Amino acid sequence: MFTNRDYQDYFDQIARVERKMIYGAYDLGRDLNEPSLQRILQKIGDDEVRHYGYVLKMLRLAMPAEEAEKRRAVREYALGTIRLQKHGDFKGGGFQGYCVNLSDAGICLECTEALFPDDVWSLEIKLFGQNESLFYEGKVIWCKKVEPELYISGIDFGRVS
Amino acid sequence: MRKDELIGRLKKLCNEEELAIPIYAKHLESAFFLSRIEPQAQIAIKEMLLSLAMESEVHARIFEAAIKKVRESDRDVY
Repeated sequence: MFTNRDYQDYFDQIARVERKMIYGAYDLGRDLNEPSLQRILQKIGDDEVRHYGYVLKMLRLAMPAEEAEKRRAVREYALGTIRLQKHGDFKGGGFQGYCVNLSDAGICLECTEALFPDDVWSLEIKLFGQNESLFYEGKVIWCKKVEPELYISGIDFGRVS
Repeated sequence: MRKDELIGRLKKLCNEEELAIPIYAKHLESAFFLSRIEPQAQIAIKEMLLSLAMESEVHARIFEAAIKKVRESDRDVY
């Protein structure tokens, strides 16, 4: 018998797959100077965004309402790229992450780096479909390795002292 | 971007599509997978998983065609 946890793990796995495809297609399209390939990648990226919507819908259908309600990612999601820079580091650098979901209180993001709890990061967030970047600072609350070279982290915007 | 890098990144995307198909299909044949869920929702979930699998196959073919086109082109910078 499959438990709620099994459903959650399975659809989370599919959601990670979809996000990887979305970001891979859009990133490559952005890095290219070839309109015909860019159009193909844009179309595939758009398909993957639609697929991501399916995954969240499946999760809602598979989980009891009260369980689904606890999961912010099921209620709302925001996809986009993030430039992460260690707070107070003015030398540049930093690295790119990807948005899983976003609220006024914080962000869940994926990146290839492990983020350490209590570290403070400056974030420049570019959501898909929006022209202007969002700027936040936040403290890492949790970080989990979900795949080789892929970490998912929670950052709280309200806990920067 | 150099041709080799482009081919490498397209291959990676193609590979991700191909690897995703068995994940979508993993539980479709299982009688137990959705047994706790209402019949209407079971149908909807199965349709969406099938749709994901079919579209990933299409995407993989599109990537394969793009890789072939780039590989056969004389152009070296994209």
